[in-house]
Amino acid sequence: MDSESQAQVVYQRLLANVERVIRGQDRAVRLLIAAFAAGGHVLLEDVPGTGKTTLAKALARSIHAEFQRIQFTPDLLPSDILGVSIFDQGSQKFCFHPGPVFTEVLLADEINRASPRTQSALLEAMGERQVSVDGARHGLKPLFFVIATQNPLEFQGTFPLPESQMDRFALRFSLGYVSPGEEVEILSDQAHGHPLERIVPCVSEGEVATLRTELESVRVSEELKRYVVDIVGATRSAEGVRVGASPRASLTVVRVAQALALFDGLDFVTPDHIQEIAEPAIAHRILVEDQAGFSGLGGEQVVKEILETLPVPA
Amino acid sequence: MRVPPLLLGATTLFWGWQCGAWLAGGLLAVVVEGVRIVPWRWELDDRDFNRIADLSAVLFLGLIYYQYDTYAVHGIFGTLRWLPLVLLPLLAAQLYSTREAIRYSTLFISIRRAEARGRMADAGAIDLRYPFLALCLLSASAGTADRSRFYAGLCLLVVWALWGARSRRYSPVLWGAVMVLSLAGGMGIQSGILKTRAALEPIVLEWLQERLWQMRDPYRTQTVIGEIGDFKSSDRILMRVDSPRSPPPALLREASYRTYSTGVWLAGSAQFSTLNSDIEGTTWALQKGVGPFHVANISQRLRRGKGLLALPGGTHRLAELPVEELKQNTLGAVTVTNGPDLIEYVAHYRPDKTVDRAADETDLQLPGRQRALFTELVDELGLRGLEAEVVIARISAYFKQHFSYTLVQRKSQGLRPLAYFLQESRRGHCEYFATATVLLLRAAGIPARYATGYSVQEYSNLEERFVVRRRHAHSWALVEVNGQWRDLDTTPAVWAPLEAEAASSWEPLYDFLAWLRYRFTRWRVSEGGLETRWLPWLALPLFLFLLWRLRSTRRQKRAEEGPLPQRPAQTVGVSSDYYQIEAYLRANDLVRPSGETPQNWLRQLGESHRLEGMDEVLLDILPTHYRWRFDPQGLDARARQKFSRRVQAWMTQYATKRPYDAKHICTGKYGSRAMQEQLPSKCESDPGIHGTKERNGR
Repeated sequence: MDSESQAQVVYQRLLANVERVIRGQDRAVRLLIAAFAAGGHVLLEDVPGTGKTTLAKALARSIHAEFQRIQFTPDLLPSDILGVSIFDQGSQKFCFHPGPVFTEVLLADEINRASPRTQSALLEAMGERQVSVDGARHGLKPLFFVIATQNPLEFQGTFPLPESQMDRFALRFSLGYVSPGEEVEILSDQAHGHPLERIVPCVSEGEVATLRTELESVRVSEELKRYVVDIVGATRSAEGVRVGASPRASLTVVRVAQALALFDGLDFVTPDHIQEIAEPAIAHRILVEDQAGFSGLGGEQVVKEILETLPVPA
Repeated sequence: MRVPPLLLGATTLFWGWQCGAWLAGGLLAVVVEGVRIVPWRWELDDRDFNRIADLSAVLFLGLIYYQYDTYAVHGIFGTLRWLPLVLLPLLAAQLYSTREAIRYSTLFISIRRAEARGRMADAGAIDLRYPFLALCLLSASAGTADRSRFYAGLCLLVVWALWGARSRRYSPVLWGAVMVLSLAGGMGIQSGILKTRAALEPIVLEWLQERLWQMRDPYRTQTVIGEIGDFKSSDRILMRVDSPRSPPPALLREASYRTYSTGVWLAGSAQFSTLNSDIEGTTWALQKGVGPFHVANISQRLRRGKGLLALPGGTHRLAELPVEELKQNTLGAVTVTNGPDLIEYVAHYRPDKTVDRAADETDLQLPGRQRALFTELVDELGLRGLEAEVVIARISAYFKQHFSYTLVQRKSQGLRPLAYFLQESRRGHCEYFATATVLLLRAAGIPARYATGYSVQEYSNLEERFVVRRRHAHSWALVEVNGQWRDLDTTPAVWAPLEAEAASSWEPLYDFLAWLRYRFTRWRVSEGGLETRWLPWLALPLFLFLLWRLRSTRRQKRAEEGPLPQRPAQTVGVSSDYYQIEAYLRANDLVRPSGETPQNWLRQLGESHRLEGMDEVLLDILPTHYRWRFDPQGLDARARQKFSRRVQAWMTQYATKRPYDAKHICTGKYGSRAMQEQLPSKCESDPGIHGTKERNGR
């Protein structure tokens, strides 16, 4: 594209807005916005204090969108998320009171603290984009986007997400620690109140819709599609892997890569976009064998090795 | 889970060694390990796998049949021993195909059907290599003679298999110590199991033989008199009778009995004596006597070489009977031992001249409880003091006129079964008629015995001889008149058609299969020495068929080692000038790793200052190459020309910056015209550049 597309402008605005709050997390911000544009949900995994919640809030507040946050706790019930039907004595009918899931941007904080039953309730809503309560179906908002966070280190009182449910997240990535210089900047920023409070929405709902429409027009060559399929296919036969990634992984890689291409001002996907997105989009869907897991093998390592060995179209 | 190299081959060789089948073990090893050398793979689909699984199943059934047929119940161990060969087609299909596992639906017809009807989603698949390995070890255990060698081999193979899967967190020494401990513990348990097996096996075998393969007891027969319900026997053909010159004998007797007591007939003290054969060992004289004899050719199967012969009344001599031992009791029952599976003998008989022991007091005894019933009946029929012939005629007429045949017995109301039969129901089957006749004759003062055997009544057009089925089993009375025993069958003649009506509608098919089996067994028995060797030859056509099927299946070249699948050859943007840059840099020892994208590679080269500060320009050029290569809309001719010029300009500039490298620029192919003039051709011998030349398709 010769001139900057509207989508690219929207991206740049969002990026700038979020980066006012989050320092030194360029990659994470880019991935988060890409997943948002591609309509996929995100799982942020990192130790406490790295800015997971702040990042999620910054994105949510940068968009003119409804935002809800659920703090997951062991006693949280599915109805606390989905909503509940209550008998109305006046009308003599059951009235549905929608839960926090009926929003546009949902922050599911510390998702692994809730019981599997509650997790499943949210994850099914994410997969189906609708909620069934008392036999009635309630559709979720078109913009519906979940940012879930979890702390990978804590095991006490947590319920790890089942492997099948992990598949519902388009991307999983972590933030990591920032450089000392950036950390100093964070301290300076927060000297007079949290920058999150100063952030104002910069992108309208309509612009998000444009972003998603333009994303669909980004072209992907047959060769690159095959490359994606080969990467995902290789996870299934990789050593130490019990269950490889599903075709849903291929779909996600292509779709998020389209978003990245759009952000880079291109109207076609390049192998670099595929490689950029492969690990966050595929690694969490891989189930390694117990033995290999003990030896320290993880999904990330499997994808990394595949990317290194599989000849990339050039 | 990966199988360590050569483990499968070693296991099959171990199996061959333990079973004394080196050839088969070697063959298996070649098949399972040959897969490492063979460069192609069959592209089999589900249907092919199903066919191969069916072949394995047929082989398995054939093996069971052969083993059972040859070794009876001991064939279980033989079956177990040869199982690896049965599973081989399926394992070979997995190893030599593009798949890495066999679907459960291939192994189980029920899952196959459930999947076909949509009642079940994909049931999953199983890698057969480890199950096969376990099966080989199990089979080796069935064939082993030396337990210590078997256990040592077993331990070695298990350690080999587990070594690759051990946890790397612990040192191999610790792992080895734990292994030794568990193997030693296993040895203790194994010896315990063996002792238990040694104790249990004879008991179980004895029980099975008693329950399932019982042959008729010449000393005792249990009737179903007094039991209620529907009595039906199978249609299975037991004997074939051919009587070329005379009508066939109507009854073939297996045994006769003398004492009756509440549903049981006993032979009493009827001692068996061993008879001697003629010098050839195939002709046996049961009784001295002269002809003329009737002749009947009878064929019947022997179980494990033993059996009770069903003979026509008055049999004097048996010819063409190749058994090792023949015994006869005083009541005419004849048993043989150590014979072939199928015997076809010639019975020479005189119906009017029996060989049974003469009648004595026992043959006139009436059981105490029945005495009154039969004495009354004798009086009622007015049989006292009459001639034997007249009594027999009256009794026959009595049963013929007043009684009918049925296979269904109702509950007798308060009466004893025989009394109920004679006084109330007047319906029954042969055992009732025979028992009542014997007791009635005895009450009338005529010696009589109870005989069991078969009735010869069905002529088979297929076999062109009489066939005797299990449902033709019959019982009748033997009566002594003038010192000769003769058969007296008072059961209404309608019994045979009635029984035949109950036959299955599949009977013709069963008969045909039975006939084939008979012909086959006959051939096998007559061939003698071939008996153990014919089976592999029978399997040969099956393997040939399988090979033919596989030959006609598409074969696929095996992919390179590792999980890298083959991708279709590049077709778009093959002539991009960017490849000149890559080739040129490669010639300067800057090789792009195959998994790295050009953009990342060039960035890294730039960061490490290996591009003389010219990386920025390259990264600026690269997007055009990307568009040429990866944009489905491609690049127009003008843009291509522009791109080409930029590439040439970069190369010229780079070459001037690194003059010492200029010699590597290939003339005529990759350099600019100016460079071509400057530099002599040297890169013809450069393999890197040749590779690129080929790739560019120029």
